[in-house]
Amino acid sequence: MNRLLALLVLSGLAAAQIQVRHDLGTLNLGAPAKRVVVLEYSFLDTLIALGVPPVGAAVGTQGGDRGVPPYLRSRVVGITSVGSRAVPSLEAILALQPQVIIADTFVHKDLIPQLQRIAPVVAFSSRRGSFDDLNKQVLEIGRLVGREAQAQKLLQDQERLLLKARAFANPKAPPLLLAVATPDSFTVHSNESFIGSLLERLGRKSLAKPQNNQTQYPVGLEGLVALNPATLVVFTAPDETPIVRSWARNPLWPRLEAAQRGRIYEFDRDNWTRGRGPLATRFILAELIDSGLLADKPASGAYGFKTSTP
Amino acid sequence: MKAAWAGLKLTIIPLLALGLVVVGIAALGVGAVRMSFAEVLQALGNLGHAEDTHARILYDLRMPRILVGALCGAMFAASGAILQGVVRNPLASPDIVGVAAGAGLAAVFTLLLLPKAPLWALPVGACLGGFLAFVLVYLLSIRTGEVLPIRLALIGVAVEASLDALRRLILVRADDGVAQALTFLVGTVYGADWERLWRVLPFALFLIPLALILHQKLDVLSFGDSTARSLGMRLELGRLVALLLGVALASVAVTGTGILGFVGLIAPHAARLLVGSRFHLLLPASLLLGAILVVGADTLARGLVPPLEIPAGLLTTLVGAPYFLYLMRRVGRAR
Repeated sequence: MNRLLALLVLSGLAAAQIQVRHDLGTLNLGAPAKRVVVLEYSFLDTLIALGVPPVGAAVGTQGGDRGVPPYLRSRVVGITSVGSRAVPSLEAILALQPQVIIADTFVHKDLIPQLQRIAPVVAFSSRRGSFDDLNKQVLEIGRLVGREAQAQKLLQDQERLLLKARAFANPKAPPLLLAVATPDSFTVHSNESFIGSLLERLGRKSLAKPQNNQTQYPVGLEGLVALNPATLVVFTAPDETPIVRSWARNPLWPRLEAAQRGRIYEFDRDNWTRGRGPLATRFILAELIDSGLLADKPASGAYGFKTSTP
Repeated sequence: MKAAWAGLKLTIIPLLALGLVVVGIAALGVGAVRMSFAEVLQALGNLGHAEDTHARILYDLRMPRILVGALCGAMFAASGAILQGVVRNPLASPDIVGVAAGAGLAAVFTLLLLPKAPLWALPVGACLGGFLAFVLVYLLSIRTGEVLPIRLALIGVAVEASLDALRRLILVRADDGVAQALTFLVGTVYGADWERLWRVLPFALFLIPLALILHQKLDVLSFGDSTARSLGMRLELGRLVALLLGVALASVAVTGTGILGFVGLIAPHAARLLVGSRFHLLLPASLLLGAILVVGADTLARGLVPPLEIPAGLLTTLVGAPYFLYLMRRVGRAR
């Protein structure tokens, strides 16, 4: 009887061993979190990949928010929307009675006290994180929901895929420039952004370095011409007319080395720069190989830059 | 007839108070989580029970939000009423004496110079900035020892524009985290909690009664310079105190909700239409109308397309801007 009791106590202690290290400190949990609310797409991607979908997610379509990225849409089922990422509805979160809220260290900085009053908050740098940062977060989130083994397996599988993709990369290819183009801005993603660091891992150097500690920053047409990339990758949305369409009519555009070499690629910005989880990475790797970008082949077909709106 | 109208005016204040209570109760039921009146009552009976989700939503989220909105709306409106009286221009509002742009610029400086400062430093910095901007406007407006209302208004607009331009210039080079933190300047009651209420309340409990006590002085100032002088008032001192009071009310309100556009313009103006321009009625009516306006706007803001949150300042500006244009046309015609 006593032994049974001791065993129970011990197992209780063991259960209390869940420790999640995050940007605000360490969260101790007695049992894996079952009800989680996430406020960034990468956390949503990660939890779905781990097979423990969150109860609520900031997947609203307000302001700069465009909702769930297309590659993930079919897998987001039965997850309650708690509004936009920047201003999620606190009462919608509270009503879901979450055990843990996963927030972005940078985006939700001012909101963390309010969130903590609802449930314990775990914060990671998703929006400004590099590929390595995001991978570490997969492990911590795996620990949080009691799926550490699965998280490790996800990362191992991903590592194998990365090796395979790396074989496609042309080591002699010149550095490339990555940028998100919206109707009114052109934002360069440097070598320390998620997508920049992922491509560096695959052996493609990025032309842009962080400026003023910012891994992403806007540049004009003149700035682009000054950088004169040999390979340009623009991330756009099919429902928008990005600023690069009008730039393409400028006499400066054809003088870009990337234009002359036929190395201007175009991908979906929601899929490539917003998901940032294990599922997004898998999707990106497939398109990377498919498009010939890694091998430095001329951009063509669906991945070639469209000079005018189709 | 006249006596009857005066009597009617007196009943307007309790009517407005009743209106505020009704809007406040209605606001309790609106949000991402819909609650019927019966559920609201039941949740009110369960306040303090952490396991009742409805009670937690009411106590932790909606109540502080309604109270902060009402308090800050009332303060913006009182500020507008005082400034309109002193400047003797129906178009005057807290924005026009530099408060809004000063608050914005100071918020940027706070973020850039004290990036590690606690969360409350931002609104406090904004409040000080609003005040400093007003002092600048006031000093620039002094000419041969006096401040003419029309000079004050024109210089206010110029200072407002310059400070705003300076803020944008700094933001062009600043980290995008700074721009993000500045969204509170749009004017929103989102995220208001009890802590924020306790931060604003002491100032409100001092400033609002002070304004009510000074109602006769404010009346005299609004009659015009010569009348005020002939009534034996020390004009410059009186005007300075009134202006400081108006600016203090608005600056403190900024710390609670950011800059809620046009509340300081519409609410006192509508109050003047209802109860006339004597401050003993104008101030209470403005306070109540300002509170109703902001609580109403914020209720709409969270009820329109839940769970999305629209900044309440956007809605007040949406109502306020056309009203402002209408006012400008009317004032123009009266000339």
